[in-house]
Amino acid sequence: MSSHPIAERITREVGGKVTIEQVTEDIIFAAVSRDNLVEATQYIRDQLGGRFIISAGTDKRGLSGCYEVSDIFGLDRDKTFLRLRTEVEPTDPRIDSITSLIPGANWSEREVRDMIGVEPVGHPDPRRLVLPDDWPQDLYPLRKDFPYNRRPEPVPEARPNLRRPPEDSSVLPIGPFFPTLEEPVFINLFVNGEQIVGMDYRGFFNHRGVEKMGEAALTYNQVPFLAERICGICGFVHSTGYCQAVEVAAEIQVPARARYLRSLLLEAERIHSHLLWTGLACHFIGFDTLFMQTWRIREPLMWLMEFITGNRKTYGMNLIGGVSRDLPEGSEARLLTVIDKIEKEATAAVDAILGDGSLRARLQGSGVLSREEAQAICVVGPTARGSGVAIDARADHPYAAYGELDFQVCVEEGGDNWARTMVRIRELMESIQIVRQVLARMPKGPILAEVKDIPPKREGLTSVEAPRGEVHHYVLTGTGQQAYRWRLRAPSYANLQAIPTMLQGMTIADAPITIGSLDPCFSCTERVAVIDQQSGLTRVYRQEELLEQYRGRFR
Amino acid sequence: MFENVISELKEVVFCLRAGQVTLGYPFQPHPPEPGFRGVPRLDMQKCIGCGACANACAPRLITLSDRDGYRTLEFDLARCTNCARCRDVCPEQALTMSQQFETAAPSLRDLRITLQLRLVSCRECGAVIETQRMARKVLDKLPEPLGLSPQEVSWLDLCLDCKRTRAMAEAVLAKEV
Amino acid sequence: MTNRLLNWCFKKSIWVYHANAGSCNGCDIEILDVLTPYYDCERFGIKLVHTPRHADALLVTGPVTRQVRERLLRLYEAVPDPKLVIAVGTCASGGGIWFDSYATCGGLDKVLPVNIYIPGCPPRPEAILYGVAEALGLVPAQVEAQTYVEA
Repeated sequence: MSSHPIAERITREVGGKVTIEQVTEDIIFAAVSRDNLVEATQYIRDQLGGRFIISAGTDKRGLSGCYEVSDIFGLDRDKTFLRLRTEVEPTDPRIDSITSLIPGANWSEREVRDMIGVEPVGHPDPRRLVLPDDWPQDLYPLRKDFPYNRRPEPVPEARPNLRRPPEDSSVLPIGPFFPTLEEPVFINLFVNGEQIVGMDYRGFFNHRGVEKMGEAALTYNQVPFLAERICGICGFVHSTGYCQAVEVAAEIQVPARARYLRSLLLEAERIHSHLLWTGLACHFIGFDTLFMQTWRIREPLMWLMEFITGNRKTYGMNLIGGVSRDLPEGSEARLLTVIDKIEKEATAAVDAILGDGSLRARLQGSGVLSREEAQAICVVGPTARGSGVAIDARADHPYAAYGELDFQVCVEEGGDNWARTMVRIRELMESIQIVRQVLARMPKGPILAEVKDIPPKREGLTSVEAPRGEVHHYVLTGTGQQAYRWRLRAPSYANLQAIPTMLQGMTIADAPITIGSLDPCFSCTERVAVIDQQSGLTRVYRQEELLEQYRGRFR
Repeated sequence: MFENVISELKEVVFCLRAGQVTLGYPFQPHPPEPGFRGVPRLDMQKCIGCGACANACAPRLITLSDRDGYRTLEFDLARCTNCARCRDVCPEQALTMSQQFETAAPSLRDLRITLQLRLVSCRECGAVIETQRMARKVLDKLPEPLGLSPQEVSWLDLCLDCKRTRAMAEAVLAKEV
Repeated sequence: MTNRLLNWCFKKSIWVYHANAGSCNGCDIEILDVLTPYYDCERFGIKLVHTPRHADALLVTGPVTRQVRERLLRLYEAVPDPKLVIAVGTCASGGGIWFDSYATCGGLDKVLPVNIYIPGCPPRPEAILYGVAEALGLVPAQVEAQTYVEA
């Protein structure tokens, strides 16, 4: 077993409670008993500076006779992941909640309860999160004895478990079908005349059972195509994440050209996603001219991706061990032409709007998320970088070709909507520069490693920087060409938890752009979680503002 | 205030410079790029019914069933995600991804392909061995002259279980066992 | 006579309400793309409306997850007659990759009567335009069932 300085430190300082099971160059696999979980979590958070990523609940009754809950942390400064697992007896499926220590773990624990049935004791909000309202109680889809295609009878008269509004307040419901919402999501705003006194949220309308299908219905090489359809904008990120997790687990060496190709496609996805976001953000605030123009700038890139990969959005290139197709003849020249044009036009567009006073007024000073709040809630991506938290999976946990490329991590200090906008615009320009680098440095050679067998019972973890933030995939390999467990965490899963904090002290009119500044992808999140109600979320705004905002929605 | 006016002027110039970009579609065709993965096309003459595509297909829209001397392959293209795995794994290159994308249909029946191929059955027990086209393919690949004894040639239309039973029986008779 | 006039009017400028019934968003982005300068559906009078009560057609994407099913039915009832239901994308047409998952209903036609299916993952903006035109009877269908029985 190779050594790792952090692993040695853990053994030295808390070796009696936390056992190191296995160590690679950048992953530490550790175990802790149920009784010591909270203390170990505190140690990781405070002494090691760990950032909570996700919890994975696995039904290992067939392997080791118990359930297992794994908490995954990112030790970003040290370029390492830490997986801490706890075994839970099936006769007593409970575990201590760590949400009081790490607010960002709120949703993960509820999801583990919904899907595996392990109850988080002491959780501040133990409501159903993921499963549909009419799903029967005591039926847990990710248990191994639940077939992936079983559709139980709906529970009659099922209603979402929403909080009651406080006294003297009325409810302003938004969704699930709503003009500015691209995805179904349900938000209840509690308003009291001139004050917003709280909100409640019921999401997960996009829950399609992705993880269960990846384990039970599909084989290793079919899952990248499933992963690509988790999200309609950052699909390639998910298929890369899954392939990388399996490759880490099975120790498959991906050829250099394949890694560079993956980086190329990932950056192209980032460019079109940031242009798309800029357009949508302008659409939210009513600036339709720029919406049309940014999408016009973006369109040639979509045609180019159709030329390179065969489809505008679902590239279908990833397989375990590399990519399945190489760049067609003439791709490099065309790619350079297109991104040169995009760079010129995007610069001109940004230059035109930077002086726009009304835009600045809408975006500056609204939706503020301080650095401390960003770190406590464990947000990722431009949401974090806009608040001064310099995390970026491409730099902290290098994957594909990023270890060999030079690029900047774009950070702004403002923490408001304007800062997040600037982060994305700067990243767009940076991505263009990265694409040029990749094309210049791409080596020749094979594009797909030969994969004979994927051994069972191996674990792999990987992070990929999506346009919205860090996407994390965890795979436990199984027998018979299928994974045993696949857990994925989309960036919006973490970022959406910051909404109550960001909306504090805001008008309703600024709510869509604030939520939009997170660039939420509800289908990525796939189990969008409920936001904690924060009473005391007050802001005095005039009645006319409220009515105007409401009317303005139905343009 | 002045800054505002300048930026608005810049926005106007930006839009004017872009001009009108609307494509002529649908009055003029806008064909996709070469290499576009449109709806799959099956060459009914080349398909040998091996089922490799069914194994690879992620939406599992390809089903094979054997009945009454025919193997039926059904492609339910409404579910097709255009990933082209079927094309990649087909040993006969019978599947290609066409350039066709105008595939809207009022009924799902219009998006189905059904192919029925004759089967070869074991002359001893009647179990299905493979399709006739697969059998012919195997024969085509075997070198001429066949290095098999006349008896072994006569076993070519037996299923694996019957072959084994026969081989065992022959070995016992010849007192090799 | 009035019916014929109304039918003629119906085809001229169709107002569309877009609903996401659990899709990954790919088809939704392509639908929004049809509004953008290169494809510009508004020159045909097709526009996206913000309430189902103004809509002539419902563009639905996604395999209809279990959670969204009831709301989708309510949405359908809110659209006044005559109406068209258009299933955009492979997920809505046949359930897509997750047609048999525990959390989905397996496609739009399991929940609503569908007038036209536009497969594709995601369908190109041109394909969506073609599908809407086909639903209005302006262009013919270009696919048909294929059968072959070996002699």
